[in-house]
Amino acid sequence: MSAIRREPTLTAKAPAAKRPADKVLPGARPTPIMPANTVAARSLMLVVSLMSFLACLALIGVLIISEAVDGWRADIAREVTLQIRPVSGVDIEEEIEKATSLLAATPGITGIRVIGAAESGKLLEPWLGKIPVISDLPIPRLIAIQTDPANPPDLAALGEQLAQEVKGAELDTHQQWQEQLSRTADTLRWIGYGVLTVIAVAFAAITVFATRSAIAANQNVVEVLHLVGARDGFIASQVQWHFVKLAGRAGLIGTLAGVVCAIALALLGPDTMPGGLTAASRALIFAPPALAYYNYGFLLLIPISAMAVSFITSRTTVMRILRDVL
Amino acid sequence: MIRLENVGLRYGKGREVLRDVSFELKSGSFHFLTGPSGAGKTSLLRLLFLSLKPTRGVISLFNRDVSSLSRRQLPDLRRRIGVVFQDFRLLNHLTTFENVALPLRVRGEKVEDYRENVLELLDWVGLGDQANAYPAVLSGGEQQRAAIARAVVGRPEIILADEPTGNVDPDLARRLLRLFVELNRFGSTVVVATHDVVLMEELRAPKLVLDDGNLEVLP
Repeated sequence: MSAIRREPTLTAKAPAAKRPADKVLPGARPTPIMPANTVAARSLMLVVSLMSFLACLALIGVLIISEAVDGWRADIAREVTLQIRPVSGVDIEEEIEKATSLLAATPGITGIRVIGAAESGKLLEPWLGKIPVISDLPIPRLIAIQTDPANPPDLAALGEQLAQEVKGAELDTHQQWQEQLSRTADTLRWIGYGVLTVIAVAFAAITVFATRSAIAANQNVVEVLHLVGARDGFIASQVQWHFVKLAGRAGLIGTLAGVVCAIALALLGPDTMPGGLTAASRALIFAPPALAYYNYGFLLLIPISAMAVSFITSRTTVMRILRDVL
Repeated sequence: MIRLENVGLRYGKGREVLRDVSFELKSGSFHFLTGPSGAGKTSLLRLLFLSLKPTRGVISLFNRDVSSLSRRQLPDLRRRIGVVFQDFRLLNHLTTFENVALPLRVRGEKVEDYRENVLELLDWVGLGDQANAYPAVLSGGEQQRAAIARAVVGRPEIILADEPTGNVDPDLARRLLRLFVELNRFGSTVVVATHDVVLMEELRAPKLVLDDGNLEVLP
């Protein structure tokens, strides 16, 4: 070929003529073989970003609900109530005294609050109205007991002991209320998982569709590479890494946008309800490092999933195109 | 070098576009492939650069039956064939230099190793000034010469050109023909598909004449 090059057949001027190309070394920064900034690539980027944003919101929603539900459960489990019914011939104040001494001596109990007769009467006002006879009625007395969640007392044994030693005593562990709340919380959580699954399927389907469209728009590149002697593996790697990088970038952008929304909720959300969704989002976003790794690791699954879906789709699509062109 | 025996080709369930085509091209030969539009010239070229499989018959390239080759072996064979497409098929997002160097890039060669060779080749085809230009700013003739440079950069043993002078004026057509003659003089087997009678009169070379799918070889 060098012999050919010494004979300028088509050039009007000598080959040694200075080229403008000399100013920029040709091929110094090789252009990626797959075109980067096409309409198809921009559309794919937009679609994957939006779907990642939605998936991120759904995932954050599920995590926040889980966080809130765990908080509610812990709050309810942390408090039990001792009810002491009036028994004829027994001084109820003495029984309350006995109960508080017994409770104070029980390990795992962090707080005792005796609800006074007047306060107990007030609890009945919504049903009976403000009538002076309330104070004369034999109203059961209540003791609110705080337990240590890390080292809870054996409530069954405590209940039995109180029933034996304190006349008219009955320990209410709120089990029925807890069960109802558990069912409600689990329903909420499953609804969250359901929404997340629907979004995940839509995310995968739309990413597959957008990747295929983008490859179809670049089919001529695939064919030219094939015809100039590129091996299938070379073409597939060029195409798949182009789309994997693109999907990864778009996935990260969408996920970051979702995290920004969660941060906005955590910082700007209504603050009136302790244990509400704002508190739960704060616990999620500003979690201690060990928990933060877990939470943010979950969110990183979104761009990783986008890259995985894009990888599989682009490889199978380009292989199908190559099969068609022999 | 190239041998076809009773080759037939049909697309899908349509009628045969090539029928019982048989010929042999010796190494280092120069042939025109001609015939009216729709006679099957492009289909025959696509068979020769392994972009299509015949529905019947045998194609041998470099003394190897193409049908016996696995898909993995085809790229090695394609690298020994340079193709100039009728519509150039340059990649618009790559510069002229990168388009011409593409066959070397896909072989894994490094740009430092081929930069000078490609620049010399661009000078040779008169595109030395356009190395960093994109196809969109090149004229039809310049795109054609870039396509020819890409076809020959890998030093192919066979050069197949599909209507390489279809989009250029008669003067440039003659110069492009001289370019193919020079490539042939340096050892490449050349097949130029054209229906330009004036161009074929410029050079005395055997003709493969296709008419309605039937081939006749004229010395």
